[in-house]
Amino acid sequence: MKSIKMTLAALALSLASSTAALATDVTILTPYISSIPTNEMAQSFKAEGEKRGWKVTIIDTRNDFGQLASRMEDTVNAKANAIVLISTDPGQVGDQVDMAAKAGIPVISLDGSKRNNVAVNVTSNNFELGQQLSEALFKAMGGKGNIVKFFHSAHPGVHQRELGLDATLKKYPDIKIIADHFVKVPGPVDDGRVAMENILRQHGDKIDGVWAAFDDPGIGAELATESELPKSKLIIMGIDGNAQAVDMIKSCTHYKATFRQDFPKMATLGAEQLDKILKGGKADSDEMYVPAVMLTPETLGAKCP
Amino acid sequence: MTGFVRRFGTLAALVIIIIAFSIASPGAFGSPSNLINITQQMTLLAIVAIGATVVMAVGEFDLSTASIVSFGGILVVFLFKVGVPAPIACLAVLAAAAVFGAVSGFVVSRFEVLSFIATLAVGTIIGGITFWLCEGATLFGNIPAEFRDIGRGTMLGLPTLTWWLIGVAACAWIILDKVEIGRRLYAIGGNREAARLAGVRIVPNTMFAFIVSAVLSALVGILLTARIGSANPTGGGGYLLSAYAAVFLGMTAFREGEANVPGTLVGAAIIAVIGNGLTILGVSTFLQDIITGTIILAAVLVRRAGKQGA
Amino acid sequence: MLLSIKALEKRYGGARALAGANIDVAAGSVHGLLGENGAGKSTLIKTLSGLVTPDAGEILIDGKPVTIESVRHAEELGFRFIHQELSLVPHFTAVENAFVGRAYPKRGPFIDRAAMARAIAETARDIAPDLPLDVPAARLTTGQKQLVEIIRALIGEPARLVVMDEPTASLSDGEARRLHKAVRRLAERGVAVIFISHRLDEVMEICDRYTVLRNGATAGAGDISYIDRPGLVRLMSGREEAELIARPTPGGSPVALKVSDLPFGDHGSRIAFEIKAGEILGLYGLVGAGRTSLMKIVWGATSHREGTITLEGRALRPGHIGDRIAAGGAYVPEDRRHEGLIVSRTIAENLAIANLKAVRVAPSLPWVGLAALKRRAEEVKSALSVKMSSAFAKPLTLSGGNQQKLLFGRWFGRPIRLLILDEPTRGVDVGAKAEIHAVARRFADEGAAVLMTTSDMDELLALANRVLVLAGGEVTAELTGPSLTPARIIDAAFQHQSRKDPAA
Repeated sequence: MKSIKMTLAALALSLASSTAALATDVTILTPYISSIPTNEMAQSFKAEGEKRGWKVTIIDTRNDFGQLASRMEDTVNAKANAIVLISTDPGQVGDQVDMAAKAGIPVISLDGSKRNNVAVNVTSNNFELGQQLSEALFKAMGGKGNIVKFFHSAHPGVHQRELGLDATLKKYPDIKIIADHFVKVPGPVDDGRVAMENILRQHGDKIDGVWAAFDDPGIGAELATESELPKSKLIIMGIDGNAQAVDMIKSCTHYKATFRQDFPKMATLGAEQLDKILKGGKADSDEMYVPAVMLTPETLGAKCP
Repeated sequence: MTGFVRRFGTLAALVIIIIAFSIASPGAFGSPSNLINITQQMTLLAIVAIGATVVMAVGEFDLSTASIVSFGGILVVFLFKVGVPAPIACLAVLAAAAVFGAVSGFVVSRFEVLSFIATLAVGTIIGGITFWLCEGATLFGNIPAEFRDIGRGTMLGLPTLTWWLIGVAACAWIILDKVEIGRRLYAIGGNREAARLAGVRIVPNTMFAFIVSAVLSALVGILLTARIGSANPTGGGGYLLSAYAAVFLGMTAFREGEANVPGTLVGAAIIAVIGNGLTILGVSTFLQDIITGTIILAAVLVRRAGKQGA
Repeated sequence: MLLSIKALEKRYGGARALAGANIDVAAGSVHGLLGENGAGKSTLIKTLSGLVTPDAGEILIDGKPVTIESVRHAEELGFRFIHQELSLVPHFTAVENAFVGRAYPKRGPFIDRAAMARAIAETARDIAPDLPLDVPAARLTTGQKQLVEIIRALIGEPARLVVMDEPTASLSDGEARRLHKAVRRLAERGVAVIFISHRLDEVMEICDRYTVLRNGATAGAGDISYIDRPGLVRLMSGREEAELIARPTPGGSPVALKVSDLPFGDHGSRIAFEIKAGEILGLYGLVGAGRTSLMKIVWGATSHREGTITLEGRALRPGHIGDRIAAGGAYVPEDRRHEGLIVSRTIAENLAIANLKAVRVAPSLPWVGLAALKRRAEEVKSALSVKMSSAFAKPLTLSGGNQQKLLFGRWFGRPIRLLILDEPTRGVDVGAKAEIHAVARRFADEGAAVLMTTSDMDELLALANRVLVLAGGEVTAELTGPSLTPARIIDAAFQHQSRKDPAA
């Protein structure tokens, strides 16, 4: 009886160690899996990783950074082979990043920011995105008019876009922010919609453009405009390439453009860099940018009047 | 005087807030169309809050409401995706929510588990199911246009959403204030043991209250999806605290410390009016939260002062 | 004399709780304080603990008059109180519990645990040598907890008087004996002990002197060696001679309620009884005899595993209140505020809650009509002469007697076959009491079997056709007709376990 137990235990041990030795464990950690781009990156990275034979696990902590830190500690303790942070400023889990470095576990970041002990941050430059969006919107408005700004400064990337707006505004003295709104999450679409309804009541036709730091409040603004002031000539532009926003652009609404970060490209680039690191090499640079794609009615093949 | 403050103080506060905003912004805030629009903006919050009111009537809390709002939205789009016709999909969502409500109510009443704990657990389970259904992503597409009409547009001069609010509020008011079951629910909430000894059956009545709350939350999930044309697995997250804030504000109105439907409507209206008015006046979003919280505290304190004076 | 109380009086509203109570307690003695339920013992104790201010009379300590202003003041005087409901922190050990609310020994800024343990061990060695000191209170027996309370009473400022309220009520004989020893040791240290107990045997055994209260006044006091058990019973009941004619048992009417083989009390005993239609059966027993829990089992508020209850031949399922209501049952609970009234709802709703069908706007529509609510409230108001301003006022605006009538009125309007009354007139003034008695009799005359329990001897004799006396978890006497006298009832109620009344 005792010997059977021993054999079973030995068997289990050897099995466990053999699988651990065989697979490369890569753990993706993010607090924002429910946001479309984060999800897209995670899924693409998972696919890329599995092509390379890695075992990829996705852990989401539902907007909770405290949890993120704990899960990251767990991952380090479980001796994963690599950690991928998505849509997170590694600085917010700085101690855990250092802890991983001490344990010899490489950490890369997608759509985050660069930091000590983070091998590479693959991202689109949010500041540049903000500038691209602002330039495109202001040009479409003819260089003058009033805009409504939807922002969410709690997210580091989204905040960078806002800084991009500020920088661009300096070049366009005739553009004024007539109203702004801090978008609440969860529920950004409806929050954007209610806010836009109220802003339309106050400023109505004086609004020429809507600058949305991400597509969700832009969608809300379009829904509000459609029901409150459909004849308005205002132009809405956002960032992310959200499917519902793309649908609105195609349907010739007030929504005129969205900038899609090339998330699959980011995931691919991230996976390539991680592959190099795992094979004993180094990342090409500590920060790498993937350019954004601008989606407009024209690029989407819609013929709007 | 103190009696008046106690009964109608909160309602008076609402009226004063509306008048103040109308003076500050007569064109934009005070216009009839804006006031009508506020009824639409408050609808989703108010319906969740009415569900919470029914649960509060039996003296319990339902912390799973926000999860059920998100769940309702995601499940209805999920069902569209697999080809279920809109009316059946909606009924299925409401039925699923009823099951969750029944579980919460049963656990709370039969095993006398604190409702905080039981509904927190059930809410967490529902959150997990929601994320699993949509794989964590926002669901968009496959939403029929006629379905979207239940959450947008107007009917007989009023926004469609406002009609939903009128309907739900009327039903809830009848349930709580007019028919037998309401007396039982309030009796349980007032004195559970006395109600039980007088022959009121605790388990089925408590389950009923939780089912109503869950079904109304799921209805809000459906309406929210119809209104914005997509569903997010955390889309209902913002409703829990505001809904209970509305109920607590409502408890300071009309009746002494009892959750009641007219009071909850006043509470939800106060929250909606403040949000609407301050945005129109261009007040920062952060300041809006500070003001809303202060008004809730003030309402409760004024009521206490009224009580001590009486 | 350490403590002398002279002609103490206290009124609550119309009711006199104390009406000339005297007691003298000497240091180093154990003083038995005796009396029926409601004789004024607890009010007397409350005046000592500073919770109640007497209306008249004197409290003398060491011969000097004192006004006890607060609980804190009573503590400073060296008075300690050990209540029936013990107030220990469950996960604290005896040592930790003993220091709750007392000054902790300190070493620098820190609590000196070693000094705590030393102090307790020293006291425990004297009072209760075998008490485990390092076990959480939750794992101690009730008797051991009592010992911890006694030790706690001796910690800190020196105790001069320890009052123990029925410390042995829920103890086994062995534990009770251990407690008796501790009490004697306490007295040997020069502490005065007031010992309240319903166990006359133990009073005879450990007390030096006794004081008997009756109706708020001292009925007798003296040295315990000059009185015997029947003497104490006589002093407590006070009307051995008064012959009261009990209501005749209605002959010939059928048995309505039949209770058989029902588990009862903590000692695994069973109880069986029958009540005829129109008969009022009184249950008498001291507090803690298990009456209320028995009533709750019969009403279905508590479930039971064994035994059967039938009403007019219909079996009533354990734990199903609905069965009782459907068969014509009605219940008036003991605790009006917590088990009876729904104080947040109106009088009308309180009257309607047990039978909402009666207040429908139309028989087939479950819609509660305000007019119907009002009509029903008016009916009850005139039938039971309830004094109320509006049917939609809150019940707590009424006097205690009228609140009590609401609990009867709740069942009004349907034929009642079984009426369960648990202390039907507690906290009710004399006038309302008589009215409520009339209501109870009316229900019986209309054919209900009435099961009543009361601590009020007058009420018992005024209403009951037959009385079962409970003590130590058993029926110690069944009294009816000429044998239904206060002395017989009290004697049976004070019997403890081993002894049985041969007349039963």
